[in-house]
Amino acid sequence: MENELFMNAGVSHPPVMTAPSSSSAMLKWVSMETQPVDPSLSRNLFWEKSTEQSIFDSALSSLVSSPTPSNSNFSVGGVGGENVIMRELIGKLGNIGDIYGITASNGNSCYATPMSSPPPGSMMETKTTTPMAELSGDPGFAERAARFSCFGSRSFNSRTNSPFPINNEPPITTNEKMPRVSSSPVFKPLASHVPAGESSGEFSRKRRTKSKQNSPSAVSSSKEIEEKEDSDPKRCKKSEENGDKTKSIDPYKDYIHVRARRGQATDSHSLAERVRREKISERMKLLQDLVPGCNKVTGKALMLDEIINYVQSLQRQVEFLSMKLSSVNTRLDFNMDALLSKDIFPSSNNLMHHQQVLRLDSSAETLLGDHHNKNLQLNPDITSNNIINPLETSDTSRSFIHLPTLAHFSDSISQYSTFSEDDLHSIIHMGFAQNRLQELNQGSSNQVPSHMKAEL
Amino acid sequence: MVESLFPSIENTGESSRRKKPRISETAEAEIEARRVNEESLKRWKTNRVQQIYACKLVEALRRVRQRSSTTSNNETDKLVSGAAREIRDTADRVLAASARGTTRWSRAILASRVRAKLKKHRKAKKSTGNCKSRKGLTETNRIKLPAVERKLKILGRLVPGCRKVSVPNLLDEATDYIAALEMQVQAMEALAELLTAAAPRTTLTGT
Repeated sequence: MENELFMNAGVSHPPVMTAPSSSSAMLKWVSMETQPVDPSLSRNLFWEKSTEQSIFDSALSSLVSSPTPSNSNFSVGGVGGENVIMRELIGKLGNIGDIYGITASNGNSCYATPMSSPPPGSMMETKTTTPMAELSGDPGFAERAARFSCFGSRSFNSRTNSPFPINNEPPITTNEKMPRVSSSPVFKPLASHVPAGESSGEFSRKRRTKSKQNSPSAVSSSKEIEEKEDSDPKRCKKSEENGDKTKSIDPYKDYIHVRARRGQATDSHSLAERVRREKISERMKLLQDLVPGCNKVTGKALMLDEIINYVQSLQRQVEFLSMKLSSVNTRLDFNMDALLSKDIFPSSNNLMHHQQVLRLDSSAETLLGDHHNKNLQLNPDITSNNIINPLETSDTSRSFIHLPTLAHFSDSISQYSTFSEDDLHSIIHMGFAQNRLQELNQGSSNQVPSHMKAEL
Repeated sequence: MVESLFPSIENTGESSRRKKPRISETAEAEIEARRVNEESLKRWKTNRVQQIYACKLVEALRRVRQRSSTTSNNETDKLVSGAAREIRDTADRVLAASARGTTRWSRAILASRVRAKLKKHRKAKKSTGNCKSRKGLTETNRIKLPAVERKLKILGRLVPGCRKVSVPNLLDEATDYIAALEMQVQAMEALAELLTAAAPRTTLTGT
């Protein structure tokens, strides 16, 4: 179908870049491209046949009617054929642009610079879009053409078979754009078919171009294709932002691919907004799981209230426990500390409990009365338990049962402590290790120094 | 056995972290963020982290006690509150160290000590109010922001080092901070219990 169009729309005059003769520009551009490609040579002959008027008529007729697929003249194989098809379509658009009487003279200057700016890289899109500027001054045309140029080869392959009744081919990037673009009646058939594809599932342009191109030039080309889009500033920005985020991960694929959902706005602004909202809601869900009592609450404000309360309560708990620890700390000597450190986590070893108990007995004199009173006030239940059944291992294990997550201790904790000292060193420069080493040397526990030597 | 424990766990942790960037190339950022969060939450519940924290805490407390024992013990109240603050700061620092510098709040906690020391030096030279600017800002901004944003600001103030952090990052930090705080509370509770178990029993039997 497109083949016929372009063939009929052949131009007789030589490839002179005059403003009104978009068809001639097309011819030149096509000839530029088609020199290395053999199948296009046959088309050149056709091109020279008809005049501009015939171009217009044929283009209109072909666009409005449901054209028959005819790939006979084309050896659609590989990139070359697809590019030709693209060019055809773009040429068609150029014809249509002429219909509305928009002078190309205005547009030439406007669009020459931005469109010629992209590096003539390996990408077909850039090649097809750069000559676009010269074709017509219609800004809308340029937009549309750029969009069409972004069509992947896949879509064109499918489209050649059934071009204008566009079936539900998902990889049609411009679907989202088409409704906005088409103010022209000519495009209505296009637009009417496009929503069919649109509803089936929309891809962002980025994904399309990305899937095809896997090189940095691809990124730049696809980016600047987007830049041409007047309606796509936000997406560009967002893609750059997202690119910044993922830059560390992969310098080539610096886009976050977003898929607009069915029945939702496809505006780039709303897409970005939706992504942002989803991110935040994702994290709120995690927080909800973490904070107890947040399940009943709905809504961000109330949930945030709960979270704030929970964090404040946790911090208050830490302060309270630190006060408690400070009061306990002052009365204990080195022996107690070293020995108790082993039993911070419930161990399955009964011997440990016995040892702990025995050592508690030995260091009883160090504890003072007022300290004891304070502790009694703070937690009478636990202390009473311990007082009543000091020697029973079940109690010491029972007191730790309510802390199931604190696992049993495997070896002496001093090993871990030495290991952790290395961690500390690696993270911060604090006097921890030095003091600790001094302590260990002075410490009374026998196991610690030996382990320290082993670890260090 | 200890040596075998640590390298294996650390390797798995690091390998999983390395895997994440590769996966996120193809997956969306949300999935990646979720995975990061789950990883970070799970790590605060692993035994290894708890043991590390506990032993570090013990050592830190021992140091604190050593330091406090050298000072005078006349004013018990002041000493207790001062010691409590010191212990809390120590515990927070130990917690932040256990985070291994991956989260913003942990880095802020560890850095705050350095900053405090620098401030002390600066204050010795010249008496300037560093907090003035901050207070002025909060006072002048009396405009009522929407409720959610207000609460997000409050949350940012609660989590150390997260005042001017974007919303999704703030929520991430808050998640990790809550998990870490929970672990800290559990560890300190256990430790306090252990220590108090020793104290009253002996004194009561003494009387």
